[in-house]
Amino acid sequence: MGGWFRNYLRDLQGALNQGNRNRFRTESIAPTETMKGIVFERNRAEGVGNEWDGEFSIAALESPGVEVTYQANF
Amino acid sequence: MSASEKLGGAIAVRFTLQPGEEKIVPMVIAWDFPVVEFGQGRKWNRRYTDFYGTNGSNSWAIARDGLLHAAEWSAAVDAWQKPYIDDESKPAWYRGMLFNELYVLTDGGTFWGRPVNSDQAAPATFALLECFDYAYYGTLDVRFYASMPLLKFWPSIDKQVLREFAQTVLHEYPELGLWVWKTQQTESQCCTSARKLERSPMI
Repeated sequence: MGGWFRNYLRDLQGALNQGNRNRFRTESIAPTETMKGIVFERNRAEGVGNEWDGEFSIAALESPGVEVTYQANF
Repeated sequence: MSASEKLGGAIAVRFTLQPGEEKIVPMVIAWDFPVVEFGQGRKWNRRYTDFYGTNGSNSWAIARDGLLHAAEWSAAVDAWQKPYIDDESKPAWYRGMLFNELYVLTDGGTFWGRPVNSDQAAPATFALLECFDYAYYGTLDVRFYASMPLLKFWPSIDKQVLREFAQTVLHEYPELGLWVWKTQQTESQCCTSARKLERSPMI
């Protein structure tokens, strides 16, 4: 099972601080194409050592006539 | 919650189409969860870590490969499926089932990987999960779930599965094991056949 766990309380007051970060990232792929997206990651002392830990990314390609916008925080 | 805590995120793509115009806009989602744990904490790395590393911070690199190669991969899948889809000698439902049932190989709890810090030159272990509510890996008596496509399309993986089973045939297991069906301790079969419950994730 993977995920960054929370407890079940509605106010989330009992949640552990998991150090979650959503980072907008952009990378030039070709002269007219740029990969844009968000890396859903978290602070950790070293590499992933547990089954539940890891990260996700979502991304799309921006090119002439195609604009990629983002919202990294909700 | 903390004002700085980040719970969600999204991307959107904006473009304008002229009447009748078509455009393909590739979007990708990738994840990097490199560790699988069995039993009381035996850790394995998933097979893809041979290519992307084991530190769990490579989802962007995986996403990039997906974006750059999506069309190529899709065309390769189409070419692979075409002779079966075009085979009018078989009913359409049968041709569809041939591919739909392949989910067992990838989405049925399958594991493919190697123990953490093991030799990357050694072949990775592949095992099917019997099912999610009967969580045993590599159960020999139900290999028919997906053994034919594995043999036909990924024979080197199939050979490795059978080699690992063969290695257990002469192995003696003197310890008592839990016979789940009858909830009682029982002696393992030894020296005569590959054990059914060879790799339980629970014990």
